[in-house]
Amino acid sequence: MGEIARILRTHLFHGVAVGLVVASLSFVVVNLTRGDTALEIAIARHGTALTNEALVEQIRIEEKLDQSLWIQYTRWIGHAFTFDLGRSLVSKEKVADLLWYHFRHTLVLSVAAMLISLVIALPWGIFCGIFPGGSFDNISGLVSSALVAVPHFVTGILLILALSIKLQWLPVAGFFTSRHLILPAATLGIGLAAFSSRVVATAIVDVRGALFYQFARMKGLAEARVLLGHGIKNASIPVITFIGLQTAHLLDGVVVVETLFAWPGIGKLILDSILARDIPVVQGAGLLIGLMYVAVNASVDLICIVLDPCRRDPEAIR
Amino acid sequence: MNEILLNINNLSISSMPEHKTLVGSVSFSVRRGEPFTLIGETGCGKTLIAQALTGVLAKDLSATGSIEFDGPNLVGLSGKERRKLWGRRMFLLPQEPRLALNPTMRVIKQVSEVLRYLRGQQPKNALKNAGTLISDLGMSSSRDGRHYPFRLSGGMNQRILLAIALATPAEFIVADEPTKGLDADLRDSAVRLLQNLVEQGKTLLCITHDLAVARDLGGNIAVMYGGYIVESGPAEKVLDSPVHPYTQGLIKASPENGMEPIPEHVLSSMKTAWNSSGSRQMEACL
Amino acid sequence: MKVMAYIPESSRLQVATGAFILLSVALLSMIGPHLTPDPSTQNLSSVFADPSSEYLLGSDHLGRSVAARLVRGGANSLFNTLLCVIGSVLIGVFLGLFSGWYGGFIDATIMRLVDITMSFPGILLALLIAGLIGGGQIAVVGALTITGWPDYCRITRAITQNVKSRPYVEAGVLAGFSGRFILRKYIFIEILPQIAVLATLGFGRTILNISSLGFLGIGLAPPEPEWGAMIAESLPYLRQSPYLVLAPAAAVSITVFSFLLVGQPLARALKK
Repeated sequence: MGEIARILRTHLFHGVAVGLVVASLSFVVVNLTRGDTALEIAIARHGTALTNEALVEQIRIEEKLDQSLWIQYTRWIGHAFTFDLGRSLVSKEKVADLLWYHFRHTLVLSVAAMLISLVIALPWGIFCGIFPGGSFDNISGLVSSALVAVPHFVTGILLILALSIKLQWLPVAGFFTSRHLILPAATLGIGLAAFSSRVVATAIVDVRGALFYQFARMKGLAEARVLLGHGIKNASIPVITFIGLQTAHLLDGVVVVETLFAWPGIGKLILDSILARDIPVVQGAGLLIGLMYVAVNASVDLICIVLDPCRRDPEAIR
Repeated sequence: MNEILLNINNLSISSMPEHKTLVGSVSFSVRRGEPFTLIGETGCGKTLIAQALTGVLAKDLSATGSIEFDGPNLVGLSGKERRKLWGRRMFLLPQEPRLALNPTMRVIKQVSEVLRYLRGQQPKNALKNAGTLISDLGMSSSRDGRHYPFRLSGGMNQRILLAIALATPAEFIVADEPTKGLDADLRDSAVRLLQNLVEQGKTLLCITHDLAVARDLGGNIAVMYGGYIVESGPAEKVLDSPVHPYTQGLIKASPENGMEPIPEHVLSSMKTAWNSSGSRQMEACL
Repeated sequence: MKVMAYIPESSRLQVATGAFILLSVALLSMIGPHLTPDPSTQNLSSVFADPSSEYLLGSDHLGRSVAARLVRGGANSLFNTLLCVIGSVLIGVFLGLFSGWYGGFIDATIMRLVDITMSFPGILLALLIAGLIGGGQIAVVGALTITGWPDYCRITRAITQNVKSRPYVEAGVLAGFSGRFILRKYIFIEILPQIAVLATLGFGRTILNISSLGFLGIGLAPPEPEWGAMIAESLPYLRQSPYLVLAPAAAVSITVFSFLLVGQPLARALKK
């Protein structure tokens, strides 16, 4: 199973790279640019009115911000390797706890969005793939371009307008019941479906044009049997590969949608922490995103290995 | 039972918008349970005939004339009615075995699914019988059968295709260039496999450019050139004492006989004969 | 036109429509700011005004002209996008040429860089850079340029490798033609159409990203209008005047859609 090890190694490399880039970048940028971090933390913790010189100095020593930047940075890296991500500068909560709390919400949201997108994209794409070049396919192409062109926050706002304000079916924002999940998940899911339905359609067209597909018909199998037995599995390989490539894109959407719907996930956590200059949280979230990236891409590759026997030993192709 | 399984009468195939004739007025008949070989150079229209009679002709080509298959005429049959014949009455062995097999399905399953869905066998029995078919063709059903097509050689994949042909209830098998790209050894074994098909009671229409294959298979043959049949009859008779100058040239041009090119005057005389006889065009083939 | 010849007949209308909308948007954002009142002038006595001769498309919660903010926002977005795309193309083509021409260690390093950048969520990186610096045009443009170049790099590298391995180019190298000559004569000709198509699609994506950043509150300094930021500002008033949100939302969507209308058929045509 050397192939699996190779895949994990590649993704681990990318994931750690992404995590370290986020962590280092946030550290460097925040320290090289504006203002006094201790002062900002003091304001974030106690408000402008209560902040005074003594308090700022106290925070500076408390958070060891008086030490050299290099020491601060290496200390953080060292701690990170022992899974100690430090505490939030603002709320003083443990970063790991914060991340876990928000990660759960992001996970729920992403899985729900993925399910919604599959429910939309699979039948849509398969239908377009079976009748390519037809008027339904052509209109679908335009519709999915249009959906891609609409930013996530606009889709979300339109859904709010229609379902929450006009029809009053669903709550606008928050995270208290599963009903709160529907709008953000649908927003993300629709955006994802717009992309993936076209990928599904292309994959189906390709597979139906393949010689083995026509041969399966010649064997006398019914059309549905041919599609199920020889079409779906082969077509799903490029689709799943595509979903893996879209991970980064999905994470972008998560940030926007979580902010719009006040969904307490990783995206919102990052945005809030960046705006509050809560560096340990940003760094921790960066590492977590790197890990998520590894997890998604490694599992996509593993699924492809299961589906596509050729990839199990690439030597054998030749 | 009718002794003639397939009777092709004045079949011509032309490309649609330009009305260019690619195959002109071909007639021959295939007797039940016997091999029949259609022989000719690349581009002479033999593959088009195979496609016309199995019903996989490209959309911009149209066939006229009649293809009587066990009675009814197949020309002009709808796609749906064609599908009813596939696998059940007739079967086309494609040229490229590896591309014809599903890359993500174990080959034994590709054989057994035919037994399962066309012959209504239970999944377990179908798998067992597919294994028997595969091992009858000289492969190990437990080892080779569990492989995916990309792990098997071209010759092995071709055996799998033949196992599928044997698994189908179809009595009429069309083999399109079964020896294309094979070396002498593999070609001989491919011919043996085709003979095996005939022994199992199938009627075989073999399409090839290889005279040796025609000779080994026996039965009747028809020699094609430029979209027309120039000579036909029992294999031995046509190949041993050819009447038509093109057949004579073709035999001399085969590797065993020194690869002597077909004399230009033979080709040009045929060309003028056809051109003078009306709208027949053969540019596509020359 | 020569370009039109490459586009399949069935999608010519689509490309023409897209191009027409894009031209209109570009014209509006170039001329519009001179015809409308100052987009930052507040008039608290006429907030949420209906469309009139003074407020062509009504006014927002601070009594600013929506029409003026819309065209000015468009000008800002388009200009920043243009900077991002130019920057990305320059970086991408330069690195791609290097990578494809020299190969070896340089190639491996650059491709690793491409992999890492592509695995990075673009908006997130932009957020990080722009948010920590404190927003502003330079931060946004810089961040989106840094995340935008890999596509151009990959296509340039592929074409360069392909051209380099052709017999007549190999012969040219042996015959002593300078690298620059080969670059101009063979490589640029092949890269240009591919890059143009990618850039068309990249334009759309960058506008989307810029508006997303604007929506998240990271972009131009506040009074300066921007489509994404306009949506965020008007969001609290969605119930009373949804129009304030829908106008900039439509502007973003239609512009991006037009880029896709033009770019997608071209991309398909080039693939063949």
